[in-house]
Amino acid sequence: MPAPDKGDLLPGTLEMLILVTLRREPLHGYAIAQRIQQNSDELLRVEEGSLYPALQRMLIEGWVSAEWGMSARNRRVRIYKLTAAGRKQMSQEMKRVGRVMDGIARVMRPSEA
Amino acid sequence: MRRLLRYLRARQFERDLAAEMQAHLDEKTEELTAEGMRPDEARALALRTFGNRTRLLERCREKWAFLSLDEIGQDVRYAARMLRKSPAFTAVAVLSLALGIGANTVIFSTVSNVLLRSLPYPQSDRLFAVWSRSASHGAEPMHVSAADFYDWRTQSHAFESLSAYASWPMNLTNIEEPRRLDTQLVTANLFSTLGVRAQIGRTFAPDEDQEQSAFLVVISHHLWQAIGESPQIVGRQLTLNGSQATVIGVMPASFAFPSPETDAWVPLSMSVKDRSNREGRWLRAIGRLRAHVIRRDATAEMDVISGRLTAAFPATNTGWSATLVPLQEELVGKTRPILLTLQAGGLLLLLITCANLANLLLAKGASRSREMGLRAALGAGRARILRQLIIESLLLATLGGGVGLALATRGIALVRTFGDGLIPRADDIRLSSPVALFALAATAITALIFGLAPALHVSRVDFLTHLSSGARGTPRNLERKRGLLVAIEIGLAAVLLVATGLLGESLAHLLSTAPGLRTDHVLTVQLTLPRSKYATNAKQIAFFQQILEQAQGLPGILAAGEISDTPLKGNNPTFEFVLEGFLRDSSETPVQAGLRVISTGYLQAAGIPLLKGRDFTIDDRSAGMPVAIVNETMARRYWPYDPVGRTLRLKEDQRWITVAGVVADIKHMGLKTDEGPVVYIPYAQKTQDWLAWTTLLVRTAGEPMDFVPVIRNAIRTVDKNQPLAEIGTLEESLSRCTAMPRFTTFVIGALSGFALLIAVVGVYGLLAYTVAQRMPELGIRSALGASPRQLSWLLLRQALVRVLAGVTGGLIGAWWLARWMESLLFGVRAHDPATFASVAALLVLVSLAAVLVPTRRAIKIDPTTALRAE
Repeated sequence: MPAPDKGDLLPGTLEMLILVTLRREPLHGYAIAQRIQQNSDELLRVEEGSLYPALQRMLIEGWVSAEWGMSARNRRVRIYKLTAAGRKQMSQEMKRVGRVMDGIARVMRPSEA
Repeated sequence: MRRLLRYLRARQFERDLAAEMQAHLDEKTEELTAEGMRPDEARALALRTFGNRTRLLERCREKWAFLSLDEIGQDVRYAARMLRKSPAFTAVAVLSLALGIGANTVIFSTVSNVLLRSLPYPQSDRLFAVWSRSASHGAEPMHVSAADFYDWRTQSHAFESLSAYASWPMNLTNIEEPRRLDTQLVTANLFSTLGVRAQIGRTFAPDEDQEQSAFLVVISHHLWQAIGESPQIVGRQLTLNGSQATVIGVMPASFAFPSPETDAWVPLSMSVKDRSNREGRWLRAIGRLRAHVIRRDATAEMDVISGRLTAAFPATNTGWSATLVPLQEELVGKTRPILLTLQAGGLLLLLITCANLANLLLAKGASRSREMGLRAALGAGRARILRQLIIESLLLATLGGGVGLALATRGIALVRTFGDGLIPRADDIRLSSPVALFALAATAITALIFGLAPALHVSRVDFLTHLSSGARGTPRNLERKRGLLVAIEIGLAAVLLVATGLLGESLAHLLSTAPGLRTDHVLTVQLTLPRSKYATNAKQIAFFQQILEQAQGLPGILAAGEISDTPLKGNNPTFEFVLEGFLRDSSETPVQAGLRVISTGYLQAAGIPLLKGRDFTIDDRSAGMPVAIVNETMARRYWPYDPVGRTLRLKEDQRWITVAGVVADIKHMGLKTDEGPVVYIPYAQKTQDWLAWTTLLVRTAGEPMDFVPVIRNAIRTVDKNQPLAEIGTLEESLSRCTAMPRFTTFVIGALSGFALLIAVVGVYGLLAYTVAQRMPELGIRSALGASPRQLSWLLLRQALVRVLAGVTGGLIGAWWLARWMESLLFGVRAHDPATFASVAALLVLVSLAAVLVPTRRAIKIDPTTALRAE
């Protein structure tokens, strides 16, 4: 498993990724990390040290809600679910990140701009 | 309750998070195992990638910013341990804080009680004292004549009601021990103007102050208690000045108008003739403005009325107008600048306290930077470190505030005891809730000021450099900050010291002022005769003469005399005189002089030296040639060469009086003022039958107060119903003249003493710290051959620069502030150069002494020891 460099994720990106991941279905913490890793074709790896503080912050903001449930491996886990506020936040975040990506892309290929 | 909930939620949160993370690890391990890894390897890898779980938990908790009771308890315990570990620091910090907060609470309690608390009357901001005023009388507020008062009342529309009153002591005789009552003559509407009702019975009806009205009396709560506290008091007859007065009501205990000593109020019933008198200005007026009428409009209306009166009665009213003074200001009067000065002093001390604590905590913070670095390296969040430091400061502030409040309770008790008679409504002063709030606010603000600043400084420290470098290089800007704080402390102390110096010098001047009479061993007793019994001048003169002879004949009494107004008490009735041979332009100020009526023997009893001519003798009888004695000022002003033999007369009296002698001036109205020109006439020749009172002065061979029973008996033998009032000594009267300045000087002196102490500790602390920090450097310098003198100069220079900067700043501030104190000073200018210079010298010297100790330690060090410490 190639370990991506530290700081791979731009600030604020992790939260957006979590929101997008939760859009399809409610997931527990480990599953969220796995899903992001898979969906990015192993390019992005979410560290536990960032994941849980981010989830706590999102709980406080009210973008996600959490309740206890069972995992696929029959383990008691906390399952996070996107809330209405989270959905709104997600679309805002996506727009913002889109703009940032766009900007970065232009800077990195100035000849084509 | 909410905190408990939060606490429980925090517990729940931690359990949830721990379970969640465990589940995460388990899932991961299982997955890795499923991928073919050995279970123990899988677990190890999962754990490794997970990182520090405790740290993660901390970071998650930080997100929620829970303040768990556990942690606070932990922080408080830790803080307490830190404080215990450095007792000197804690003692200095807590004590200085306690002094600052305590002093401020006491002063603010007093100020808020006297200046801020409104008077106990409804809508008291609409109540105004109304005075007459005339430029030729120095524009000082003067009493009002009856005719003017009634004209004001009929013509003015600004006042909802306007009342007059005048002090008129009466003798109450149909009780066991006859006593003199502090009685006020009042218009019937006085109580409704003030908006107060009687506690028992009623106050006066509107028409009960007519000439023919029955003699009614409303009594004070304390008089009611003194005469038996009977619930059936209404209707009881009191013999006042020999006449029967019917009690109609008792006022509540809280009612104290115009003063708490007032015993009773009787209607101001005047004849038509009295009511039309415009020359005798003897009434005080108080009015309640109509709602929405402002002071300026009322003053404007009074000006119009005064103009009208001047036009109608030019002889008496030319130049006279009226002035309005808010009743609150009127009652608080001269104490206002004093209290404000004290409050300013208190606040300065509080500022010094804060600067000192910031200083202490900065030093402490710097010496703890390694500890902080270690804690940060071990994973304490920045918020956690900040909180720890804030809790330490809050703990200090709470301790200081607690001790301060305890001190304040003591202080307030002292103010109530010693302020009685000095500060209006002193016995009401207590630590009330707004004052307690003020103390709390002071504590909290202080905690924030000195807690947060160093806390921010410390926690910003990059812990890595601190751990690796062994915390040798203190940041330069820390020393600069501390130096600045010390300079500020010195500056503020300088301001307080200048105030103390100026007040102290004023007090010294006051105490060294000769009163002009011999105050030792003199007993004074005030006697007021009832006019009903002593209606004629002859009867009064006879009584006074008999009393005098009785007193003079007693063993142990060296001299006895009588005077109409007791010296040093402030009462100085002045009259207009016509002087023979003194040509007076009509535009010139009339010759105004104080009039005192005295008996033979008075000059000896009071110890006033006769300068020229002769004293009154027993032969100066009413039938004989009218004679007078004038004081030195009078003689010098009007007859510089040969005063004796000149004649003068009262403007209202056609009888010419010959000057028989000249006496020295005395400080009749108190030490601060000269008495101006004075005319003494003998009791035996007085023509004023209203002057039915006297003060008996006896010079005794022993302790004057021991003679009270003897004197009382002597007076009883002349008239058994005659009460004695205002029994005291001249010494007491004299000491009362200086009581307020002594009080002020004492308080400001104490404040500046604390300030000086704190500032000096600050200077010492700064240098001691610098020496400790620079020990290795000093060692090197010493090893390289620097002489002790060079070393000490190196250190002294640094401290001296701060001290001089502080002193300069402080003196500039004091120069600017001193003018507000002008009214409190006597015999010294606000910008007295000597005072400023001595304060500067004192501060520099004391600071030098404080820095010598650490400097000596520095130059005595053995270079090798210093270097080895490296």
